[in-house]
Amino acid sequence: MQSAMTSVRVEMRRVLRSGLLLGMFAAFAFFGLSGPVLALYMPEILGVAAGTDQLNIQATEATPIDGVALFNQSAMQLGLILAVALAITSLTWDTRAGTSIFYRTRVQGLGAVTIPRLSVDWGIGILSYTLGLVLALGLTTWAIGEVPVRFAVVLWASSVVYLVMAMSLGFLIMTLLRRTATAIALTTVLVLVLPVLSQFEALSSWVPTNLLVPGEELSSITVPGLAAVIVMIVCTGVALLIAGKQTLKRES
Amino acid sequence: MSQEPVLRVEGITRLFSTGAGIHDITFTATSRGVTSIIGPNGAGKTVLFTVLAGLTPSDSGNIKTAPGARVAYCPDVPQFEPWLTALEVVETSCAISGIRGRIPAKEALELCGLGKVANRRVAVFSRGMLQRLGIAAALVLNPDILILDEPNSALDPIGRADIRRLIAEQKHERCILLSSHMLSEVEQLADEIVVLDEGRVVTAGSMTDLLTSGMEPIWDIRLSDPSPVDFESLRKAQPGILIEAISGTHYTATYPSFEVAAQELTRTIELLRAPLIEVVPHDRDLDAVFARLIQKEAAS
Repeated sequence: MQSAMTSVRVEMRRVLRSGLLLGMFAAFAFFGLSGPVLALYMPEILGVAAGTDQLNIQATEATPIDGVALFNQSAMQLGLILAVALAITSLTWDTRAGTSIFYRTRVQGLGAVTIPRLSVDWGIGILSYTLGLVLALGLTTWAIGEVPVRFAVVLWASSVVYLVMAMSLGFLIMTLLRRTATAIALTTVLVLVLPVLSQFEALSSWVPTNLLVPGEELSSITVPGLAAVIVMIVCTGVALLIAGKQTLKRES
Repeated sequence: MSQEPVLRVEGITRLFSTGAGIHDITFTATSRGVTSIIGPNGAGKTVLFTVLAGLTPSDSGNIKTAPGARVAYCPDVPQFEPWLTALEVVETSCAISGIRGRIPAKEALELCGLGKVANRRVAVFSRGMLQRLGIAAALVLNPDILILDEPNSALDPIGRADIRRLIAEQKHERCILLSSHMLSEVEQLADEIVVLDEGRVVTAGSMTDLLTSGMEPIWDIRLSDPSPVDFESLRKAQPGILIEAISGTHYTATYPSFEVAAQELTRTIELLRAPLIEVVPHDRDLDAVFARLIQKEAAS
């Protein structure tokens, strides 16, 4: 327990002192404020963009759902990548011999170091997304119209589950590779390509990527949500097993 | 120093795909004192330490420690998460190990000369400061076996003196395994020596045994002024003893045996008739012994 709490403290210091926490909050806050604004002025923006007699693009007046949807689009693409990078960099200590020796020689099981740190990052990911969503809901309600509560709740639940799953995936990839830049690149490609899975009929009902476009009811996200939780548990568990069997990374 | 063994290394082999590694390493370290592992670059010292620290599994052999013995390892290039302060690093070292150390974190930093920079972030530390911090982070665990890989390599002369003093104090409290290229320092600190070359043990034994092994009854005599006595007179006064001048004030005296030297050395110094600076056995320093051992090993 003491080791776990110590790891939590170390991770909190990392995200605070490195500016990662501020960066996450700022990014999601930006998405939360820019989404509704973009939705509100979309007809004007597209009108300016079209600008020729040959091409005429029209957008309908923004609805409250549009305001929040544009926030979610940014949050679950750029924001997702940031959150995944946060989780991946929590393992940077294992990419250098010195820091790796420091931790590996002091704990019986690496779970005492890795899991608490990942948990902190999950928490920050969820908080950041929630902050962005609250700002998006607030601005949308003020500028466009009231957002249905049920829609907001379902959106929040589906997005945070997907976020945590993606972070766990990045965590597993980083554990395997122990190379920060490569892990971020690979995970980025993966999370951008994964939504394609929803196009396959055999997978469409349960694949976690359905969480990116949830229905209006909580029941619409139950099965994909459960699948995402299973993926999260498997990724974290496998990462822990692998880390325990790894020897010191010899620096090239 | 306690002769109770706290560490027995028996036939440890660890080979890498490149062919590098260690072969059949066997030695014992006592619970109090310094056992120094020395060898040329690539001899396998760090590989041995990573195996002893549990970071790398061995391919074969056994490592037996006294029941409940705690091992702490300070690598040659300690690294820490740069956003932590020195005090936080040492506190984390203790807390994450789940132990209550005997030495408080601040005291460990003071012992290693880092008391004034306890609240400074590690990101701005020099390599020497990082080395000291690595030792502090290991000491705070109150280990029974403390492994120090090149603890002085990045330190200035004052820093090296500080760490030497620290090791000299700590060797009364625990077993210290130490590797260093600075054999003059090893000579001052080590009680036992293990010499490695190409991954194998060349020789192992006490410092005294090692220094005196292969020694010949030759002495280096340094005077403050050149001797006024000619060599012919010296030869007549002490027949069978060869005295040669290396430089104006540096002479060597070769005796037929150590027994003759015990009787005649004092007289030789008197006959030279110049103020004495020092008299030491020829090539008795660890550098010369080490070179001799490695060359002998290469020739065999």
